[in-house]
Amino acid sequence: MVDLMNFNLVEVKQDLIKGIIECNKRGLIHSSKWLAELNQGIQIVEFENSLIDANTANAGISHEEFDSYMLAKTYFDCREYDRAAYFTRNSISPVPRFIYLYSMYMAKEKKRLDNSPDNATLLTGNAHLKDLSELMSILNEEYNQKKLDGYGMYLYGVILKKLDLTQLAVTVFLECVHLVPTLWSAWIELSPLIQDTEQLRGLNLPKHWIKTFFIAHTFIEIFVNDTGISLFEELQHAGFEKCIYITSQIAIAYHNKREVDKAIEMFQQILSIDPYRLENLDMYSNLLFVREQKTEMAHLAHKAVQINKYRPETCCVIGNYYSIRGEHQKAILYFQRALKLNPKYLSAWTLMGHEFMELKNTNAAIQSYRQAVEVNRRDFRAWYGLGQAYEIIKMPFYGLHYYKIATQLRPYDSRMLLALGETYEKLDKKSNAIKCYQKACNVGDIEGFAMLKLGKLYEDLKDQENAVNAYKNYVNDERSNSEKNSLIHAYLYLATYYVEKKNFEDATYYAHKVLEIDETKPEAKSILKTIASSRVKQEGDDMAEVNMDLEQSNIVPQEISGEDMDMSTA
Amino acid sequence: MTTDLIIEESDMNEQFNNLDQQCTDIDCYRKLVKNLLDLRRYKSALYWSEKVAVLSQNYPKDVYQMAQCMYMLKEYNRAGHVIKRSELEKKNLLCLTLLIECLYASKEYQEALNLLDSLDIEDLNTSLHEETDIDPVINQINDNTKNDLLASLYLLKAKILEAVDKRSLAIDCYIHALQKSVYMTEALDALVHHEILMSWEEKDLIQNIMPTKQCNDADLHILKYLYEQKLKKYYSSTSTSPQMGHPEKTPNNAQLLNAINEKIKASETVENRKSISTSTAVKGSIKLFSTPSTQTIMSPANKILYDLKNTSASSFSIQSSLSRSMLNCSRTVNTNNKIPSRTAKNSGDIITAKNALRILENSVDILIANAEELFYNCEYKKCLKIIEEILDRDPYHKRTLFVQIGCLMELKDSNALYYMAHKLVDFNPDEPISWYAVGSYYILINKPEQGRRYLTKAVLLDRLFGPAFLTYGHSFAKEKEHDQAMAAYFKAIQLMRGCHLPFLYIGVECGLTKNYEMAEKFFYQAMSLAPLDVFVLHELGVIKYESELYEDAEEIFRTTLSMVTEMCKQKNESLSDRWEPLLNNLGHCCRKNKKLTESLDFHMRALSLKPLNSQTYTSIGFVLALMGRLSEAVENFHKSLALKRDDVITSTILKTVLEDLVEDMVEIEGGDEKENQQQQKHDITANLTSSGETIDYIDVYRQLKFDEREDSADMNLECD
Repeated sequence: MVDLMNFNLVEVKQDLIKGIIECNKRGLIHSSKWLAELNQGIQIVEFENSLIDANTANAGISHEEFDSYMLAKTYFDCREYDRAAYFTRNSISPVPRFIYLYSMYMAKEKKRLDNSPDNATLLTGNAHLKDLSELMSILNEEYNQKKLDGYGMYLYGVILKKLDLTQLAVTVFLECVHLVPTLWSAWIELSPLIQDTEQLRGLNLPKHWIKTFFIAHTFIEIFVNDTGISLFEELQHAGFEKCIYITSQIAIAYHNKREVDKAIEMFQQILSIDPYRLENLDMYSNLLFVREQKTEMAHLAHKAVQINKYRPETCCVIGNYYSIRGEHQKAILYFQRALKLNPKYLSAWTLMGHEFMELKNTNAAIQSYRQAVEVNRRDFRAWYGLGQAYEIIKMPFYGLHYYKIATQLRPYDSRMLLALGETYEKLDKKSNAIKCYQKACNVGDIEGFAMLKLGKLYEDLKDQENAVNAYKNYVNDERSNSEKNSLIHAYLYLATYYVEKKNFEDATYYAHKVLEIDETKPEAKSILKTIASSRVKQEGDDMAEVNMDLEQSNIVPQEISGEDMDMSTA
Repeated sequence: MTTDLIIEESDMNEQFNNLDQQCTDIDCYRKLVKNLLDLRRYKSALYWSEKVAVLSQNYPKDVYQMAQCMYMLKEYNRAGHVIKRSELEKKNLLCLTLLIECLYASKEYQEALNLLDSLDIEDLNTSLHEETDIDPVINQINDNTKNDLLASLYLLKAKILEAVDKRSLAIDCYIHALQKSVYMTEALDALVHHEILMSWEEKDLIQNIMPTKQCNDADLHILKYLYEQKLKKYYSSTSTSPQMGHPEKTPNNAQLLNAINEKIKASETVENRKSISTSTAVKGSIKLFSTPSTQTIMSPANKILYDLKNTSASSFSIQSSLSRSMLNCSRTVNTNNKIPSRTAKNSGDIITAKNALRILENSVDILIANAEELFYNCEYKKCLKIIEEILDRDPYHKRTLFVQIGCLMELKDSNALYYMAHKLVDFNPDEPISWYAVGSYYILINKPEQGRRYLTKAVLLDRLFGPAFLTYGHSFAKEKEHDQAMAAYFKAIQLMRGCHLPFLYIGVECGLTKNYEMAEKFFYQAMSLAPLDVFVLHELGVIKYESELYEDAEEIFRTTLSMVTEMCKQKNESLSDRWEPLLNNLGHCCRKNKKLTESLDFHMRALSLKPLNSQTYTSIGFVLALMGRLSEAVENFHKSLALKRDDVITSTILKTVLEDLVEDMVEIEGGDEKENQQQQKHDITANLTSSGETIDYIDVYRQLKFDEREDSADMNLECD
């Protein structure tokens, strides 16, 4: 790690500027934007621009093709892709050739987007196969003949990824970043293809300063947040402290870690430096959503609209705002708009799924979640949502599968485990359910239900010892106070259990606990009476044991009637 | 006034008197006629030629010239009458040819045939010799031209025979024509483009007609090159493959060979054809397993097949035809002496043979041959590129237009096809191709009813228009009207004797109607015509699979794959995505034969050829499930369902797998789980095989899909 952090900033800056020029030549605007941001963040006083070779601007364009290149490039910039492709169709030198391929790709993509139905939920995935097959075969042939340059590889990789040929895509992207390390888009495309830390470590990455950025980025992408944060922080120390990209990445990591306040703080910091930045703002609004800061959200939404109404981020921010106001239809409308602008916009899919769930439109929700996991398989919320949706439509087998995936993605999130356990319970796989609940308790129960569930399950299984343990743990958890009914249930169970065990001390203790709550006073009193009488009997004779059974059988109907009363009073 | 008249009269008299002394040369008029003919001023030419004929008192040459003028003016009956009246047709070959041509043009086929039969053409030849003694003008026609004349006469005869539906006799005559003059390309075209001859027959023919006397070596080379280009067909590219040449070497194939031989003995036709074939080593070397079938069902299709065997067996054999015409030739032709080499000529016209071959690459015929080859290899885009080039030079080149229709159909470019069909109909409404284009367009846009109407129109214009029948059949096949489709294909068989495609299609249709035995027979027929056609082989594999002979099917598919890869290697290309079904089918077979890993591998390859295919994902998932890798299986099923939401089969299997997956605890705990899993593996396989119905259904489905694809892939192979 140490050697990763030794950067020659002058070299870095040279790389950046060169990269920006190269990307601009090829119309790769997002890469050059990122590079320029980074470049802006590095300020070196003694840096001389003259170090950049003046020829870079025209390198890769042969003299005779320059005119047609210029023409095509302007068409490209005007988004007339077919025209751009037509005028570069016979080009041989690398840059015009790339423009040719790239504008063919863009033309297809643009047409597909334009033709896609307005209702984003109806989008089907295989439409682009036919469009891309021709381009794909060209690239495939050139790739096999080793005629592709780095940028061409990038395009090939993008198409492969689109067609879901991930393995090949990874190799192609790797080759690409070896050839042109400053092509940040390639790194970004590669990053979601990495499944876990092991795979990340196994990659053969070029020795280049940008690699560290990629590794840190990917760590956050695969939810290894702490490592990612520390890497980015080191980068900040190594001279990139002014790079806003790093700050935003750290904020995302905190968001993933559910450290809401910290993340909000970082986002505010970012907004103060770059008030017109829209990237990741939807995440900020998610955080505000969690904190239920309605006014903040309203302000943010208005601001985002002011900056640019037609950005997926803006639409998501507005959607979130409507969502917190309970206007789910409107929220869906805005999420759909976001998706129209960018069909691969992950968070919009997931959020739209949530909204559909709110509207009880389970099928639409499933569709949305499905798209979300299509876009990014690691979106545990979508998997979780899928599980929920399938549970609602009474397909627990499906639900189980999705919960499982969610659990695999977030092994330390008790919510997933709890849901998994519940499904197992429904499917009558109690032992599995118990395992899930136990694990949920072990990893730190967020909502505090695991123990209760565990207790109930043991109760069902007539495993009194374990049930008592679980209930004890449950009542000792102060969070359980919010759920009165379950609390009463736990107390009653404990009390009855101890009566049974003739441990009248504890029984009385729990009965008194029940007594504290108004609604259940009669039951508590009846238990106390039983205790009292039992005590007398125990002192009296062995006969008591015979009576115990009777007593117990009395208690149970009482309990039930008590609950019924509750219901009626409430 | 009167005096003026008198003066004129006296002038005239004077002139007449002068004419007595002066002479006029009829030859001048003859030259005039010739010039006028060259200038296409036929009426004036006729006027003057009539004068010449009168002047020369019906000198044969002049009569001929006059008739020719009439012919040019499309007054066929008149021209014929002139010749008949002079009775020259019985003495002079030129006149006879012209007369026959006239009769042909005015559709009086029977009369023409009677005339031809009444005269022995060979005798006429000798009589021509005799006549030359009397007639110095016709004497100028040297022997070579005479051969050309005979060739053209034979060609005409063939055409007439074809018109009266005596096809086998017609073929004979075409071959005679070629034998007489190798330059009679029309005859070769007629043979090749109507798919009359089998491929090996075509090769034999070329071998045999290659003249040694009619031209010098360089020309021979060029000629051979050009003609071979003409014959270049879809299966020719495979036949050169060395590996395929000797497949018997592998023990497997040796076994197969025995099987084939038995099979062939059973089938009279095939044997017959085999004896014809000179390239036995290549032919039939590919595996014909015979399905154990003892009884023969006389279904309608069977009957047709049977009839077909009988008729085609008796109809024609190229060997006999060739030998007959050889006989003729030996009697008459060897009067030729070699044409002197052409060095004496204008140096600008002389090029070396090598150069000539190189330059000829640019000729339209060679270009279109290349385009066709691309078409047969399903490289439609590349093919269209060449076609554009050709059409740029010659926008009405018919053969090219055929290929273009095919390409456009394949690429489903209905707009271009619409435009093209419109233009064609505007420019030449009398050509069948125009209506063929229109019909194809309607079929492409899924209006088969109209499509068929226009195809019928095309057939009305040319009764021998085979491609129309094929397309006609396809349109029925698309609507799942199998019987009608077959009927159309049968008609196509009659028209295109040497083409294996109708057999292939009938086989496919039989397979779809679950008549596997028949299907197999038709595929063997197709193979006997095109022994190395991988498409046929592949279809045969599908049929084997359908009849649950999975081992055989796998074997066949594997052979197909190795042939295909060999072909690709030769062309230095990677496997094209049109072979994705083959790989998938191999995957299915391997799965059936319990070779799960291999099966998975094949499916994966198929996926990389054609990504985002829901069927492939389902198959992968299925194999994974059988291997016990349930979660991966589920993932693949999901991918499949994401691409195709309402797929019943996939969701059924998915449900089964998911239910089994319940037991499979996430790796929260280790240890005891493993045992559990093994148990499940067992469970699920049992479960899945018990739900065998669904599985079979998939396969059927898969294959159906393939067939459709195959159909469309081959749809217009016959265009040209």
